[in-house]
Amino acid sequence: MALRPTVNSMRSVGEYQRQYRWNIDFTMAKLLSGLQNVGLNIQPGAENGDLNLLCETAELPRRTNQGIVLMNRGSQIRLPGFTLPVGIISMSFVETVTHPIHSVIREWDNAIWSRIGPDGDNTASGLSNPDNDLKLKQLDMLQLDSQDNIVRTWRLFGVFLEDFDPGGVLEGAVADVQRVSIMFSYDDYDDFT
Amino acid sequence: MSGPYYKGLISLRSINWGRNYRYDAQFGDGSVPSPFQDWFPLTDVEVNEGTVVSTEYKFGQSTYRFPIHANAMDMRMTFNDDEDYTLLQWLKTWYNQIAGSGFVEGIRGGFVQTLAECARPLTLVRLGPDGEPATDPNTMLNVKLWIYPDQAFYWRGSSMPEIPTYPANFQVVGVQ
Repeated sequence: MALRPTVNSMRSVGEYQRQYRWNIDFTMAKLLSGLQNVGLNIQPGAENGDLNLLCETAELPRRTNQGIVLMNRGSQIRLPGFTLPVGIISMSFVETVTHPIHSVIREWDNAIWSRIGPDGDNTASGLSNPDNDLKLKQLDMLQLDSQDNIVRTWRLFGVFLEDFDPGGVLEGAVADVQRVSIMFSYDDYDDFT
Repeated sequence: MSGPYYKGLISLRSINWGRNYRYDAQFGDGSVPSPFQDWFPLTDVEVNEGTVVSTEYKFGQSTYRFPIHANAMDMRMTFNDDEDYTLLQWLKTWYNQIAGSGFVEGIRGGFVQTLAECARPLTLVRLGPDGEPATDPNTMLNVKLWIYPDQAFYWRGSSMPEIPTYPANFQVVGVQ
């Protein structure tokens, strides 16, 4: 007799992971010299400036294997090659009227490729800080259980701002908050319990 | 034993196939400056492991070929550079020391070095899946090649988001 799952067996699994129980630890962002100069409070719990609070959705990192296809006279086998992280995740943020999200984007982007000089002119010099001053050493995405215990940490390494959507169109007939998307680039990640 | 020798999937699965990306390289003479003194950032490498030159011999209605000598080994490599152009300066200095075509501090053109003076040792190791040398370190797979840069070498500027990448040719004048 096939052992098909029943209601009881589904109940016996234990606590299911809830999609909505998570936190993102932006505290490591302090390592970024460009952000420190803005004077933003990006620590958890800071009203308006808390990126973790304003983050609405966050994509989890993943990696893929660059498989090798070996074919010889009509027979084919697939071999594992090297594994590479996809390298980009997207997060969406709700913006407030103090514009912490847009400010982070502006400062980070300007630190990577200088467009605006100290006096606000569009000098577009293209100057840049050293790579290690532009990238977060690590960024932790935490999954929680129903008691807010950390059950899994997704730790991104070498994070920087790669792309963003500033929030679409300034509408005249839609009642909604502004949502800003940021695509973060990362070198690698680890996930652990 | 008569065929078939190749039995399809079973034959393919019975082999631990190699990988092109498993290799390591280091210039062991201490000439490469920091931060590349321990590992050399080779992205692609091709080594001419042997060239046999044949000649033709015509006899009757047929043509035959037989070997007459072996050609010298050469190699090609492509490597990256850091923001200080450390390896550009290193290779340029090496070029100028060999042929004196340019100007290096204390050295002017107008001479050519001997092989013994210009060759430097590149240790090239073919690796196994565990990161260890693929075979005994003393085999031909794990060699010290004495090389010198040959032909033209170009630095290339670009308006694309790329890091410096140099292709360069070398002659192999000794194998240890």
